[in-house]
Amino acid sequence: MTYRCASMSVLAPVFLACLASLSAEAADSTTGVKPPAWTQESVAMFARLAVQDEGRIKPVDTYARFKLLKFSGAKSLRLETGRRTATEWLMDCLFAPEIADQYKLFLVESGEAMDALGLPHENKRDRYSFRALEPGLQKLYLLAQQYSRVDPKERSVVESQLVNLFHNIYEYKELTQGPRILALIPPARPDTVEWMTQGEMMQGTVAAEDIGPDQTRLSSQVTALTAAKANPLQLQQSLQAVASTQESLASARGEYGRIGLEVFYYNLSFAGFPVFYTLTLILYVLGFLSLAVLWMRPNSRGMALFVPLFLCVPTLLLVWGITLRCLIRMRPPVTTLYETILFITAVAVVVCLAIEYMNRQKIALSLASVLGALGLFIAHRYEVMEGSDTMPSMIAVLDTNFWLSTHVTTITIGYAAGLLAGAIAHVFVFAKLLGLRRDDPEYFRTITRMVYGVTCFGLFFSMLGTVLGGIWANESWGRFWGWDPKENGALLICLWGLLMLHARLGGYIRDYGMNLAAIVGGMIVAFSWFGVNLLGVGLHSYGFTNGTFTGLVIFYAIETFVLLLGIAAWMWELGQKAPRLQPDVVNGSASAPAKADAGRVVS
Amino acid sequence: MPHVGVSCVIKAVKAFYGFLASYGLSCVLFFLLIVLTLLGTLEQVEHGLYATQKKYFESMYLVHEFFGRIPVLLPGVRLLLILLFVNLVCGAMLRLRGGWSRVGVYIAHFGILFMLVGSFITYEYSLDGHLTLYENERSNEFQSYRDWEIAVTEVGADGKGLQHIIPAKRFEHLAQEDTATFTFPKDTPRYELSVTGYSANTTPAQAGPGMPQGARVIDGVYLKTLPPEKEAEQNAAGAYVTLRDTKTGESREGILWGFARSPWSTTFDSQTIQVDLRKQTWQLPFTIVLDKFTRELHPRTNMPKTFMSDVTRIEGDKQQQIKITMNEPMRYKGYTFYQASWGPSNAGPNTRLFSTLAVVKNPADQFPLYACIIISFGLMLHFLVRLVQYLRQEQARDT
Repeated sequence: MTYRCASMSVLAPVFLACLASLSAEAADSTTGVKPPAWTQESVAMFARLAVQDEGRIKPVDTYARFKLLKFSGAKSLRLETGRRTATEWLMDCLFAPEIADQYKLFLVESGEAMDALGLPHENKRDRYSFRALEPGLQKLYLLAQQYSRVDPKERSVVESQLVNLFHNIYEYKELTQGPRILALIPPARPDTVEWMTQGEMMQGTVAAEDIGPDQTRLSSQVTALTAAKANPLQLQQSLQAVASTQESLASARGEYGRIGLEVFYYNLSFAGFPVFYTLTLILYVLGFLSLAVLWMRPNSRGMALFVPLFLCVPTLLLVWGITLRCLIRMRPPVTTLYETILFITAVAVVVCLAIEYMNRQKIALSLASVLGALGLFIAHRYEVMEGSDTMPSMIAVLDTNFWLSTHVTTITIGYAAGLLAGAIAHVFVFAKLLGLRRDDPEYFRTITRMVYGVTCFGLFFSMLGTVLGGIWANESWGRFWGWDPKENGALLICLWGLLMLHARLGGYIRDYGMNLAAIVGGMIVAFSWFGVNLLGVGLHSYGFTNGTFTGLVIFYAIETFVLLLGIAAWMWELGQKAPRLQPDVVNGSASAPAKADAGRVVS
Repeated sequence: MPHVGVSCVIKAVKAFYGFLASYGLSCVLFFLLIVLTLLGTLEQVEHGLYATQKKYFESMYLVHEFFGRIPVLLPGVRLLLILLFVNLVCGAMLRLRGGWSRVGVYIAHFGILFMLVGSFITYEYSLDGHLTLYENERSNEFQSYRDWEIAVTEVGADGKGLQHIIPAKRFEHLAQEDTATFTFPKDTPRYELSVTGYSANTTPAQAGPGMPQGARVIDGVYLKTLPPEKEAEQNAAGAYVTLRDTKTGESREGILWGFARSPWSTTFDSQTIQVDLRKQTWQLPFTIVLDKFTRELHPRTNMPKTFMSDVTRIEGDKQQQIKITMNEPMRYKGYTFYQASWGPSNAGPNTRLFSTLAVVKNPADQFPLYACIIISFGLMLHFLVRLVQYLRQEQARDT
């Protein structure tokens, strides 16, 4: 039983990190401030108002959520009086800015940035209220102006932080001007796509044809919100009027239909945990813990039946979440890098469950729980790091559901399979290192068969996805292949898969070789998925992202370490077997040591 | 003895064929392709796509400097793809391994062969360039993005005249001291054009103390050689020319510069001759008129939602209105027109806009699509067969 516990202890840090991330979800903004007491009805109505932002119509709730995330790195604020939701916080900004100014809102990642502003700080990384930052605003303005002229790639970390802080404070101060700055008013002409703010209507900067009686009424109702802010009940009545008018106007344009669905997606919770995806992550962790029980009591029929079924629950939630996102945006499942993480996690877990259904070895089941939790943890960290709407508008070249659903989906399945093959190979390496199942060669053959099967599966989708990408490029840019870094990344995955399969067919690699090659394959997928974006060149500029460098370095360091451990285990095993080859060597018919890596070719 | 010789030859041929058809060769080729793709990808950060493409992906061999100082001779991707083609033909198609259960593999390999053939045809025979038009402008020619040519025009009384084209491959290799001479008109040669000192990226500069030693100066100006730009489209080629009238022996010297506003021009005996270093230009068998260019942004953002060119295609007395937009090109008579870009980038509401259409003539345009279908079908078939075999094995193991 020792080895089973040992394998659990190897994976335990992953879960601790996942759980730690959940506890860090709310920004601690305890300042002794008493927030305004909006009625629950007001908050619910305000959350469901539609606002046009970043090119799309979205609920105010979503707008607030990502503004707060951008400013504070968290999805809610923690005050002495309790947790403040994003919508409540936005209402505070719009209707009680003098109180919102005192919330510890702005995340400053380093003390050096505060030093540059000449402001005091206690911790290296902390959140500060607008009031606390106010004495340094003049300095911040000058520094941000100076650093904005520097190429973003050339800026130091502190310079980037100061520029971001300046932009965040600027956006925040816009919010404190009240609801007049929100694009809440649908235009009168059906072919006008831009919604209007009450401020724009007052200033006369919108076309007169877009202002009808309903727009004028809604504008007055928005103005009345500010007048009613001192009285929560009056504010509730005013919000009711705004919500009613806006819903009828937006519905007539066919732009309100999915607002409720998006509010549901972001707010569905169970026992206080958001279902998408905090609860899902917790369920994967619990699934892993129940697997630990199953490992220790392998003869328990009840557990053997319960655990796979239990792991289906978070998997179904994950698939449901992805489906809801598709319905909200009427898009295929993968349109952004954030969505690739969700989708890859879902594919990996579903494939794991399918493998488990086929071979009942509990290896794939364990991996399903680990990969589910790890994938959702990474998705959470990525969302926090980006701090922007994860369902953004598509740029022109990507604005095609056909190619998004064919090329992007297939290539992402290929990524998932490449990473899964690498993950399965880790089980092989650690089992060898820890001396597990030493007398059960079939166990290792099973793992290798899984790696082989998933590699084939991945190669199919990678090749199909890569060629489809080329055909899309031919339709958009007039050439099938342009040696663009993103294209090359996909090609590398295909070539590595082909190399693995041909090397296996030629007898150059067997159990160890296949598994170690699969780990390298996972590293190549990571390069293609995120690494090439860091190069900052090529036509796939919409995939560029910052801040993933550290994550990639950590991933590569761990994988290289595992790879070296695997090679060491392989060498050790060869060394153990070498004396038995002596008689053959003497007879001049020694089999090649490279081909003696424990086992037959897996068919 | 002759029998021994013949059998030796047969043995050697068999061994060589075995090598060409081997999994070992496949593995080595895949590995080298991985290395070169990786190196070529990373190199793009420093040297841009075009130069990297030429060096790594379109070459037969190259020298890569590892860590910036250790030179290593490597095969180019072009050579590797040729070898892969041979390996595929010998190993996957001619030497049938495994019988009918592997029919999916043969189909998939055939698809890859088909794609390689397509890429060869594209590389050798396709043309690509752009057609940039302001609204209400028309044109029946398109220009290369990167390749140059010299156009010599004997200007007639009407301002037009007979044009002689010298393609880049005949002068782009010229070093500073090398000269290539061209004569025209073809039937009764009278003029000699000598081209020397071609450089891919240059700028004209005033002669002065800081200029390189031995630089050729014409009318107080010399061509200053610049390092290649990362974006090859931004390179401005330049060369020195000497035009001689063989009838009179008179000659003139001039400087050609790719970004010059007008061609270099000179006159012999009242015959004006213009020499222009310009991007390679091809004629279209029809005319394109840009009626309107539309640029839509996502509301309340600067993010492009769509670009669209409304064009009229004129061929003889036939006219047809067509919309060309992102992901929806116009295909006609072997040419494909794609919405590539637009300008000016700082355009205001009333600025006259231009649209750039990428133009490609590629005989293998649809080969990748056919290859994709063949490969997918083959792999799907093969993996299905494998899956069934695997499930049977597992079932047998369980029982």
